[in-house]
Amino acid sequence: MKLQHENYSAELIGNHTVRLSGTFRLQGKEQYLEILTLLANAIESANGSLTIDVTDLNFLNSSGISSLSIFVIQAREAGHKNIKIIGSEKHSWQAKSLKNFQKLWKQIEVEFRDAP
Amino acid sequence: METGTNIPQQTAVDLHLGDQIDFDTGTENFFTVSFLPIDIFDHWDRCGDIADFIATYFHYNFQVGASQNIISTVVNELTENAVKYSRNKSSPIQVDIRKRRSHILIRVANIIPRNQRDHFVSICTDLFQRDLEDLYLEKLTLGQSDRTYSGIGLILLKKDYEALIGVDFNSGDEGGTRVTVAVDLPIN
Repeated sequence: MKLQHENYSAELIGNHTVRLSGTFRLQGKEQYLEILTLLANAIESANGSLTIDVTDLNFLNSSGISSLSIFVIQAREAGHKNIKIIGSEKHSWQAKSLKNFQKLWKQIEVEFRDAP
Repeated sequence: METGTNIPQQTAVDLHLGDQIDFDTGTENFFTVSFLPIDIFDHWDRCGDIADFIATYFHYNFQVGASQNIISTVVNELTENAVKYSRNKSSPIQVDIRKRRSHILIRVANIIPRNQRDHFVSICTDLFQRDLEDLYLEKLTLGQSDRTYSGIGLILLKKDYEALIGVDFNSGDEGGTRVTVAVDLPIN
């Protein structure tokens, strides 16, 4: 399962990890539906426990943050087990904004791979 | 297409909301760009290209390694907003950037439909009066059905980037309302 674009990719790695890479600055939330579908399918096939690896995601605009947030809310409401987000502090948007996902679902783990 | 005569100009402001941003005192360098929203709609990646260029231009002035990512993220949010809400897709958007010590000042001006003014004033009033964490969660949970606008861009800039934001409204422009969003962004 992989979405490949000139500026970004979304790929299922193994059975439990989706890796988002590149620059996600799509025009609006509607343009993120394809990615949300990939994530929804992935968490179903991962028995409700999914890791989202964004360490190589250079940018995510507010439409993307909103879309990922909706995925988190829907996963929580569907009774899935948990989501783990692996990020990198070298991308300032991640250092500043990844924590917001935990406010939507306290069980979400946020881990910075390059944290001291 | 006439493009050079209707660039949003600084004229008398009939409503100011939010922080007062001093855009002139002690600024060290500047960059200005003007473009047509229709050209961004045709090639959306241009929005990010503009933001990346401006971030690259200014990051040499900062010791902070993350400055490029911060500046690009913020400029991209502001220009995306300006493009999405522009009244006439052929009315230019103007972006002014300046540096002052460890801050970047950004000012984005565009023309919105006059009948959208009250909606924008309401959005800005919430931004400057409400608890930002509450407002953020509300926008995400109540906005799930809105497939176009997230409504969280300016909230993120205030909440996560500690930016000061001021918004000026002027209804004297060519049938629309000129909206100027000024941001004082600490680079840290």
